[in-house]
Amino acid sequence: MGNRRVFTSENILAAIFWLACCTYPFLHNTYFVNNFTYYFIMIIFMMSLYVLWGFTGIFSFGQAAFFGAGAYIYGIVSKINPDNSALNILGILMAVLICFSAAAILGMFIYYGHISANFIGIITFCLSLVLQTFMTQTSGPEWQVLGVPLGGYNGLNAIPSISIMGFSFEKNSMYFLCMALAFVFYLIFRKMQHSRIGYMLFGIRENAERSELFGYNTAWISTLVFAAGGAIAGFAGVLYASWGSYVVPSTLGTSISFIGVIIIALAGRYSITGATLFTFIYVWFTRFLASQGSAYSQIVQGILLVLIMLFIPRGIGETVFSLGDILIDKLIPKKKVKKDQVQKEVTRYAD
Amino acid sequence: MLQMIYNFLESFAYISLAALGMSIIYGITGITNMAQGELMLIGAMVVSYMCGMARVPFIVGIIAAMAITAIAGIILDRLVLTRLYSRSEDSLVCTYGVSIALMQVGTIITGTGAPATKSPFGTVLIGSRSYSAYKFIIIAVALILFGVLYMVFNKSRFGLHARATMERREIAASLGINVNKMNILVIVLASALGGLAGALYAPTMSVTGTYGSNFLTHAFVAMIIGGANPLVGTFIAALVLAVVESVLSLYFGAFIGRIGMLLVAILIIRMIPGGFSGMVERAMVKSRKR
Repeated sequence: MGNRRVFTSENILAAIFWLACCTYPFLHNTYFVNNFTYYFIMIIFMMSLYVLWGFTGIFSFGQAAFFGAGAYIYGIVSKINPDNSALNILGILMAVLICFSAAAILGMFIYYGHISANFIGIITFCLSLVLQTFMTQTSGPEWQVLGVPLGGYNGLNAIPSISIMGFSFEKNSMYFLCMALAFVFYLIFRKMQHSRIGYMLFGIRENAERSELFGYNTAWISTLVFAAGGAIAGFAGVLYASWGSYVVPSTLGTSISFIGVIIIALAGRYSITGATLFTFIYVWFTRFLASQGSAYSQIVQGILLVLIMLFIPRGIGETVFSLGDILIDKLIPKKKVKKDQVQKEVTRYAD
Repeated sequence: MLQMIYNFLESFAYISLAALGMSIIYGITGITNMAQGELMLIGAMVVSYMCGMARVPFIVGIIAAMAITAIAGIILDRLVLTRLYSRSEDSLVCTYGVSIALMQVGTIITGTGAPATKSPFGTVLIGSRSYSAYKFIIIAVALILFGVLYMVFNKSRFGLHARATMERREIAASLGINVNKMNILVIVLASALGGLAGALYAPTMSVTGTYGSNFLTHAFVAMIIGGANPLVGTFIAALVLAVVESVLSLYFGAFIGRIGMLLVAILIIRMIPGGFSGMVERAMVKSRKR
């Protein structure tokens, strides 16, 4: 643990990625920058799933339900009076809080009810499906919350962007806000991988029963993690609503959850850098496919998911990183470190 | 009142037909098959194209649908599921990939909808209301299916082996049951059931790529609260859910009915661990002890 190396392929790639992100807005026009912001929002959303699936082994198929709920709540609250920026902040807080508590309640039912792990995915899947169908049919004038019509299939439009102290985040400033947030989340989870909390969650992932015997209250911890995942997804939803200034029912739906699941599965559940980079690549790639108007993109994605799950269950990200590390080891001959280590080993055996 | 009973029976048939195949696969092999909805889509498409376009008799269409979905089940098993028996927790994600791909294939083939099949048998007048006679056939099929499956699982050699595999996989294998062969047989059975259900509902709904996902919520919920035993669990779960859904939809509309069903399901899992089959098992153990 003590002498972890700095120049691993993971670190190098991550550094390149984040530096490229920093310089991107200075090299491209606002249109591209605005598109790029979407990638960061997806990265944050995806991290909510990563915490659940990668860290704790909780498989949620309904993260989009929280994502969409966050977006809707922010949209509704901020649309009560678009000129009042205090409502804006209230909207963010409410979205995160409601998503947190909704996820906590659901998690409580799941974990204290001792539901088999397979069913958690199914329950969250159903939740997301039901929410989507519910929001789709809210088109009539009788469906409004605090004077804001829910809009049914068309969803909410003209949602004001996030503004704090009179400064509203749009275009380039929104880009930097989202990038900073994504980076903060990235750092937190990167650190968490080698912290006590991280190890505790890994323990639950690997064997919940054993962790419980070690004295961890796994039901409570899992519930908390589930709730935190919901809150992060809700927060990503807020950013999404603010960025695109619209929410539609399909935001709640299973197709967005599916994107999250496929990214984590492809990237590898055990590598946050891989997941981050892959979110970027994947979202870019699907947008490219969609712009080509190909009807086959979903087929390709589905088959890809099956193949990866069958043959590379650890995911591409990790495989690439471990191969990269081997390559680096060969490129940079380690002289001193190795000698020292050998010396140490020798002295230890001599003792 | 009559309307309510009719709604209840209709809902019962819908839930049990949707859930049976899936819960049989889950109960015996431990795999959550998300692609079951797409097997139903295949069944529906076979019927639509054979009966709606080629004017083949409906019964022949259904039999063909079952045969073709059974073959599809074998292909699915050989290509994907065989590799998943040892790690069933990954099966959900994996079969969801299959489901997504097949759904899109279905969308490309059917476009805005496969040729419509006419609902056979017309309508029946009961009292002052007219009901679709075809719905009664479906209800009858669902009930008969439970009877037949009960006989298969409790009276035949295959059923005995299947139940043994369900209870203790390793011990069943060590006693000479070919567990892998069992898996394939179970998948074929469940696929054919999915094909049957899909084919039966093809005349009543529009057959598009997302046809299969209409059934998913019901199937899942019934499977979850049914528990490990595919027959007993699904039967009771379908009964309970049908009551909840038919009563709620009659008074508040279909959406509240669906949401209510989901909430009841979550409550039931919280109250009765192991689902309904767990409850039945405990009751049986108790009565035997006396």
